[in-house]
Amino acid sequence: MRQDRFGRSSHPSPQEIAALEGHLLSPRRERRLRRHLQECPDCRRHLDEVRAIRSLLRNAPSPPPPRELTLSPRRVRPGRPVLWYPVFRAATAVVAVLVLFLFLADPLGLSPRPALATPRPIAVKPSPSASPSPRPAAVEPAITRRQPPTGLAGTSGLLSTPAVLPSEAAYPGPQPTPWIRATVSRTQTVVAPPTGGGGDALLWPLRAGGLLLLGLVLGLTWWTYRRERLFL
Amino acid sequence: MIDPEEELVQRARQGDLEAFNRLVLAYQEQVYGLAYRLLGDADAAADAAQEAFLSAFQHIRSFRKGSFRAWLLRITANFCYDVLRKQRTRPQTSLEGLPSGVESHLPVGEAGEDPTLQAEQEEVSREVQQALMSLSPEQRAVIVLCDLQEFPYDQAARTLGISLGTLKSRLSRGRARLREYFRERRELLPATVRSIFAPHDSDGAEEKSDEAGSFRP
Repeated sequence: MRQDRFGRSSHPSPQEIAALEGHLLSPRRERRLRRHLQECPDCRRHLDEVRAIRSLLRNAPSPPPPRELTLSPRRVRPGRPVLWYPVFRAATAVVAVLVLFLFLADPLGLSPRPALATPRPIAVKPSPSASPSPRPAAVEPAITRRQPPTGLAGTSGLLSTPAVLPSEAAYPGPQPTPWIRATVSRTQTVVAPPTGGGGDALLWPLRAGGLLLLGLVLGLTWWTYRRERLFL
Repeated sequence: MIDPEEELVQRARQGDLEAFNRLVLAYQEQVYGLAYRLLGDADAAADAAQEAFLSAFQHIRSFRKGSFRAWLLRITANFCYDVLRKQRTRPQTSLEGLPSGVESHLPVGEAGEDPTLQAEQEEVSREVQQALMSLSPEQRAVIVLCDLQEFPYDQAARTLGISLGTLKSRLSRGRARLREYFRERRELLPATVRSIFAPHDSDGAEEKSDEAGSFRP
């Protein structure tokens, strides 16, 4: 047996020889193999055997059916059977669009939801004992909030809004709303509660359900395709 | 002039069961033969063939043009392939055990009146079936469709729901496996089959291909 410089056999594998019958190989590979066959009687014999087996398979008589296979009217149900594949394919398309909408509606601001409550100025009645001041006495310190656009408000449940205080020290008085947890520092982080994003509680289950439904209809589409592909 | 088969198909499309049954009688041997080669069991093959005919009748409106025989055989192959895949998922009987149970039902007279010839043909048929049953269901389906029924590769791939590349790969592996099977059993084979495998001058060359890594001409 010939060997290449790495000590490996230079004969083609049985699969490659079998693939010569019926042009299963690429033309280039087939040309190389045929060149090899011209020089190698073993491989030629191997190919002859493959050919003989194919011929044997083709010519082997098949047994006749043990009974007549004609259909009786009882077996044949009246009416035309429904092909379910087109139905499920359409359903998949619809569900896919719905799921896409569920995921894209929010970032695009399309989903209707209540906006985050804006801080109200707290009006404090001036006490008679207090020294009169030309300035309005009790206005909530000027907290500059960057409000998100209305449609986006509260989308994430935890919305960090940096707020800049006029000075580090001054943050007098009660918080305008009890649910705002504020860290007083140079930059104030305000954590918004889920009140403004009540839609989120609904949106995520909807997305999950949509994905589940998409998986289900995709599975059914694949299954019906396998069953009905010859009739489509 | 209308082809009689085409006329029968047209009538069957309009729901004429009698016309369809005439088509069944014309093709039942081929359809059953295909099912038998794929399933290796006479009863299962008869059931599969009848189911395939039923399915064909129910969906005959979807048959548009081309060969009715090829369409029928594709439905049968598809149905049997599903049965094979289910068997693979939930094996009720060992596939290894099936070859021993392979029966032969060659009709009297298939090999003429010569009982010796007939016996030999029966044996060849049985050996072929046993060899097919030694393959995996996937390889068997491809070998039966492409090498026995001579389906074009693209049609066979579509029938089995696999890619052309997968089909070619299974076909070459299946052929190589069949050759190996017949070589291993050459002493037990009928004379006609045994003659394929004349003893080599260098029988060691046999094993060459097993060692063969990649072909480097």
